[in-house]
Amino acid sequence: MEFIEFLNYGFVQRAVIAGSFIAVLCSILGMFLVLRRLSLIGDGLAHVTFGGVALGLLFKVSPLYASIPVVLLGGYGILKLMERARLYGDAAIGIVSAAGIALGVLIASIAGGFNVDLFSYLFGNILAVSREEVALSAVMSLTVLTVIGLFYHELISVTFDEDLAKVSGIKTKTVNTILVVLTAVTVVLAMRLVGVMLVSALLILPAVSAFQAARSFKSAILLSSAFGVLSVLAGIFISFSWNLPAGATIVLLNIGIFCAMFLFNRIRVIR
Amino acid sequence: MQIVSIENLSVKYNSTDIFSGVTLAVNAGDYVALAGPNGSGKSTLIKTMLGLIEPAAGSVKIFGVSPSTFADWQKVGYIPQRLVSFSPYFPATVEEVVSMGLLSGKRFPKRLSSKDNEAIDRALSLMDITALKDKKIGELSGGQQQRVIIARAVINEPELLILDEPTTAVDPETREKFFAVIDVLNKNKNTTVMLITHDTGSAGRYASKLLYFDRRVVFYGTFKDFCESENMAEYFGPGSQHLICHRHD
Repeated sequence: MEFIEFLNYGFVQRAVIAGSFIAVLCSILGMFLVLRRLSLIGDGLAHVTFGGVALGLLFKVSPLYASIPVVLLGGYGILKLMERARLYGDAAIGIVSAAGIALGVLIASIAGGFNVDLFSYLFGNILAVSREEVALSAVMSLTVLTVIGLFYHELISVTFDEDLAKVSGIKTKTVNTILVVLTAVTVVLAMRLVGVMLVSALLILPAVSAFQAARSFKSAILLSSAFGVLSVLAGIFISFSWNLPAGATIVLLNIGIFCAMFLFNRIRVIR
Repeated sequence: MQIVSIENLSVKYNSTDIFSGVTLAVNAGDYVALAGPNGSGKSTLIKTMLGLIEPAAGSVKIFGVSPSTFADWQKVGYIPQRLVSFSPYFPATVEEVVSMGLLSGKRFPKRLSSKDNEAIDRALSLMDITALKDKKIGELSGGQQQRVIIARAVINEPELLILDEPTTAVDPETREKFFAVIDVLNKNKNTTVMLITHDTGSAGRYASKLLYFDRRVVFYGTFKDFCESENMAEYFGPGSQHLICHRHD
């Protein structure tokens, strides 16, 4: 099947639009998370999403809407554990992640066990994205990208060195809160794309691939976004053509891009 | 005019006293060398002054304001001993890092003017890193990275410059050049300087005052007074006091 013919399907168009928005969002936000050694926050919050989805299914509320407040609460919990309990990021993420999964399993058990809906959120299905979800993805992605644009300099400064940023007059606690809130919203949006289990891959892989070749922060943003969108579009096409799970295909394509960029960088250094 | 005033300051870490009851003042135009043994609380003292550490008791004021409410951070330049959270993969160029020092004080949309670009070129040239302008910061050696951080700190020509062992990773030639630059800022622009150093010999050539800190203020005054102090001769032993004063002379 040719790519243009493939784009005639309505569900493919929806997948391409929602996927492109979320890919750009994850790719840019992921850069800040990776550089701040908070890569696994996506994974941790995705596990919290699992709890939110289970809660939504239990109370017959849209899992997407039910997840947003739950994940924001999880993000707030990670921040406070780091600030107040002085835990390292990985330990704070581990605690909140375990709580999210435990909550999800408990609720699923109360509701009478796992069902097909819950698994669709665990592994994602971008080809089943609804019109409403496309609109929500577009609006939320544009909102998050606008916030990143407004706080771009502050985010870079805090990512470079938190102490230096603070002595430059940047309110680092506010910037950290913004970063966690943006990540929470992004994780919920990305959940339909690649699923709870693989969402952190979309935050980490395009960013680390871009770092192999980027010569400046701006070029890293462009490269990361390009890798994210490329993997999502190619992933949708391949999964539809060969009847493969879309989420896993997108993640494996991203790993392929990372390997290629890593080799490219090695060869460049040797020369 | 007092640029820094500290009264009865105490800092604890996990209920253990790092230091307590510290009182001192730094006046405009002072060049204070802050010396003391490892673990004596020198870095903690300046981090508390900068609002990076919350005091357990007492008060700190910079430019007459508590660091928690101080807003005019463009007046302050800070060079840490090492970068706390810097990732070696950070994809910014040297120019991007130095420009961070300028952009922090600007309102949205934060854009660099041609005057700002000239200031960046001047700061790069001052630290002899113009040739590294387009290099990624993560690709530089520790000494080169430190020169970038110094350029970032002095680009605003701050009124108060706080330096925590800034030249430990740089070569002797750059170290001399660095001290000369700080000296010019102090003498010509009346920049107040607080410099943590173990190299009291080099610092003594430029600094107007010595603050010897060991979980308390052991000595705070001019180098001349330090060298003539019988109390200090008793505290350090005549040999050690002579070592600092001899290298200073």
